[in-house]
Amino acid sequence: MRIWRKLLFLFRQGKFDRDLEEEIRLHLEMKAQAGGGTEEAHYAAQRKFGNAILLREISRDLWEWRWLEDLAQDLRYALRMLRRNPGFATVALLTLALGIGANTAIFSVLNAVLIRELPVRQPEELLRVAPIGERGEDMAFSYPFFLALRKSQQVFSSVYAATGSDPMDLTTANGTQKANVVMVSSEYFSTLEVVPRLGRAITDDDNQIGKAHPVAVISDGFWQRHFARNRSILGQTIIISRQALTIIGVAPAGFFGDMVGVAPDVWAPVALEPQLTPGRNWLEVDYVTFLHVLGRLRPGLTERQARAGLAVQLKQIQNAAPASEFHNVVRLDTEPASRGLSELRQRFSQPLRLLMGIAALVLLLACANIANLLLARATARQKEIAVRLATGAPRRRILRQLITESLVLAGAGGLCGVLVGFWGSTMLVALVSSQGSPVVLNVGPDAHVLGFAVAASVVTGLLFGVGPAMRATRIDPVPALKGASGVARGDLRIGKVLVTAQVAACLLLLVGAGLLVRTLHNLRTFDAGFAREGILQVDFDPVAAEYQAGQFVPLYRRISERVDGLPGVRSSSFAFIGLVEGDAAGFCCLVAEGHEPKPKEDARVRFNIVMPRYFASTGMVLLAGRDFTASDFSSSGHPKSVILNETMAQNFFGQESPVGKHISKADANKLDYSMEVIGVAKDAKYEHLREAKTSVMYLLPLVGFFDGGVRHLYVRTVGDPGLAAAAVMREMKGIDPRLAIIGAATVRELIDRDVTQERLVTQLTGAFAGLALLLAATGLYGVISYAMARRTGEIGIRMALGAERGEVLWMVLREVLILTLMGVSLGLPAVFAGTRVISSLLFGLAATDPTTIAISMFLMFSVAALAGYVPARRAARTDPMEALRYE
Amino acid sequence: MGTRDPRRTEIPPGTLDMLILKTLSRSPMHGYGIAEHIHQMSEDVLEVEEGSLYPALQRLLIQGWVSAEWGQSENNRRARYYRLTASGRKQLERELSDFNRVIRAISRVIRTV
Repeated sequence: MRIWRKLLFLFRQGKFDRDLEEEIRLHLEMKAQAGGGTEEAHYAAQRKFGNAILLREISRDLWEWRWLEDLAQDLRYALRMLRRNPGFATVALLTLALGIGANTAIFSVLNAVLIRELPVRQPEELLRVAPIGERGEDMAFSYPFFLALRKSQQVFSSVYAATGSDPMDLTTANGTQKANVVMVSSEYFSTLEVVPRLGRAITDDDNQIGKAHPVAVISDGFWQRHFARNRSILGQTIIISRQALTIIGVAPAGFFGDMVGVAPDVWAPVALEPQLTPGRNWLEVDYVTFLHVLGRLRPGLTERQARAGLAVQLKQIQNAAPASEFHNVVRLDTEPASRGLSELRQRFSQPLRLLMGIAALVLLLACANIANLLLARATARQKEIAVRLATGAPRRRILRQLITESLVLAGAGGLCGVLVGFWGSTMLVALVSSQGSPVVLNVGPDAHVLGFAVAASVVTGLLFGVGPAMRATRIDPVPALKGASGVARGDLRIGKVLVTAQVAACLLLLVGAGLLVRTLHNLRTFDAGFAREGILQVDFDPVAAEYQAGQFVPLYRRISERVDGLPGVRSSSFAFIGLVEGDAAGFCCLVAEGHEPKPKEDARVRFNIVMPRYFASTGMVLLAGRDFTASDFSSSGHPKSVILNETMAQNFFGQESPVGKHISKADANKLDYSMEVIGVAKDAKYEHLREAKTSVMYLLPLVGFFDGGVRHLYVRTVGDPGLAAAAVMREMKGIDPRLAIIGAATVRELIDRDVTQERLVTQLTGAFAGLALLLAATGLYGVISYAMARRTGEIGIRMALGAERGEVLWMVLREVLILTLMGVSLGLPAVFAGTRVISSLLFGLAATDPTTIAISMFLMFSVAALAGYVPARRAARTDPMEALRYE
Repeated sequence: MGTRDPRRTEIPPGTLDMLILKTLSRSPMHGYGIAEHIHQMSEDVLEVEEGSLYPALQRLLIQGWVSAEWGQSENNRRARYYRLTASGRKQLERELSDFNRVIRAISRVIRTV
């Protein structure tokens, strides 16, 4: 009620004032009448009453809206001050817009990747089921394992399996393009509680192994891009891998599936897997794990209860299938999936946090600069402030006025910052996207982002505003009004402390950026086991050209013969898995001859299917034995010869030479066979450049055994491999014009694509370090210029007494260098502590790499000297006569 | 201000609100009337400083202990009449009992010395 009365007062202030005035007038008149009605009595009454205006002020204070009126006044005043100092306002605003903008941009991405929840109902009920292997590795589901789980599970109200999003060639009436295809079990949409905006979702009927309906649900974005939101598209056909699919539904706008960072275009029943990915048929094998599983928790159950239930269920599943690969799973873990799954989250969570920290540090540096500017300005305004203090303005009032000015500045900066941030985050996403795998993220500002921007602005405004405001109001009005220029020396001291801190922070950023630059260089140059130069990779699709099992190997041979004949080509070969492309699939249950496998032994082996001369054509080295020859091709349906990499040779045979020994596959899948080891290849990076040693074996393609999956042609050339690309593709088209060529790139280009993330983080850190260097240089320049301007008289005297220009120059520069030295010695411990945070991002060098630190220090000193040189030269050019005349 | 009537005394701090409320408990009154009433009832001893009367009235309005409305004064002028509200009446009782307790205590102290 009291608040209500006060509000009423606020909105009807004019009426209240008039009422009060009328009341007072009446009071005075009555008083005068009582006093005899004479003019004298009238004045006496008025005297008694005192200052009617003051009375009104007091009365208004009581209603407690004084602060609001003061605020409005402060704001008006602040805006006027900023308008009167356009130079200061522009510099400060620009600095803040960039600083807050950079922070907002990175936070927007961080928010989208790490914080934002899936746009589905009750996302917190979603859990991912993670099968954990013997060595604690987080594995995926095979389809039979998912079916077993689905059949008997009790902790989820429903549970589904889905593949990742794979780019596939998709043909509509408008032609063929790449589209992201996700294969899902029938519970996908119902578990996520997503209802198609048009048509229906995939049902259990659609998803029966062997008799799957060729249907597809398309995304809202795909609908818009390819069908212009035409509502009559239901029933139309799209073609993926020569399989025609009927469109049965359109997903709602904004729904991007369960993986953050990829935007599926098409969802199809997983039972169509053999048709959609020719050469594969993984539905009924329990040893290929390619699905992730999400469930919606039954109402009232906790995650812990779910885990307990899953533990019981795993035992039941395993007992029911004693000879299955289900036994590779030690336990079923769960993890909250409210924010969806994301490879981005794993890849970028650390770099994003790092960048967030760096951006915050840069903003702090910017704060220090603006604080320095404000300190200098406070000196210029000291007369104004002294006048106000002398005429009785309370110090608190002036303090509030000054802080309001800072907050207005920060607020305006924050507003621009949000715009910069939106633009910046969109650009960041574009930078992260690599060719072929675009990252689709909703980085639009939401409540989190706006809240962040507001908080950042307010904190920034207080950080750079409070100190200088305290300083400015702590003056003695009397000497200040007399015009004494002797501001407290403390002013300069604060400025110097700020600059020292800036140098320290700047050094930290320089070292960090330097370490990342050198890491990137290392990644691009270290020996990855294959040649980075002189190799061309051409991706093609023989399946789309309607080749059948048995026709592939002859095709590869024909291509090789033609390509080898080209001038400048040294050799050519083929592989199933591209260099540093990797594949999650692996072989299990391999046993080395004369070797009893120990429990917990790394029995999973990754593999590649290659043609002869693969090692020569990719620059890999055979350490022992020989390459595949024509005689190694097997007609039994099982491979007979195998080449191991070093790590696998060591894991399986220890120090013995494996050449001539056998490895057999012995498990319950009727896949028993034995292979002879014919060679050992030097380790080459398989999935990514930073991976630890991993066991890999190389096999030849066999009829019906991955022969159609081989899609990478490697051509080793004498000169620039890029120049050979056109000729190679011409030869391939010459052999069969139907052969679809998906792309050609040199291995150098592929590696550059692989280090996209590293490059991005490095570039951003570098940019931030550059910005920090600029801020620190400006800070140094400002503080030294200010100090020199105040010492003009002193320098004049020195020069009048015979000091050389060089001496003055050195005197000023020395001061700059001392400040820098202080900053650097403060920064070094920070460097040792701070770079440890990024040690996991580094490659091929330590976090305390002395070369990097030395270079950074050198850079810091050079820039400091440069920043100090301008005011130093100005000081050295002081005309002693002129300087002394001012004293 | 030097020619101050020695018999006139300023109102002890904290009691003005109570006096206003007490005055209004009889009938609604305008500001001048309140001041005059206190002045007369105290037999010219208590002088209400007008400069503190109106802030006090505003304070009471905020608290909701009095309400105000415009009416006709004795001499046909528009005047603002203050009226005690129900919560104001309770507040008056509270203040009176507090005041009486304090006064009794003070007089006991004075007697016993």
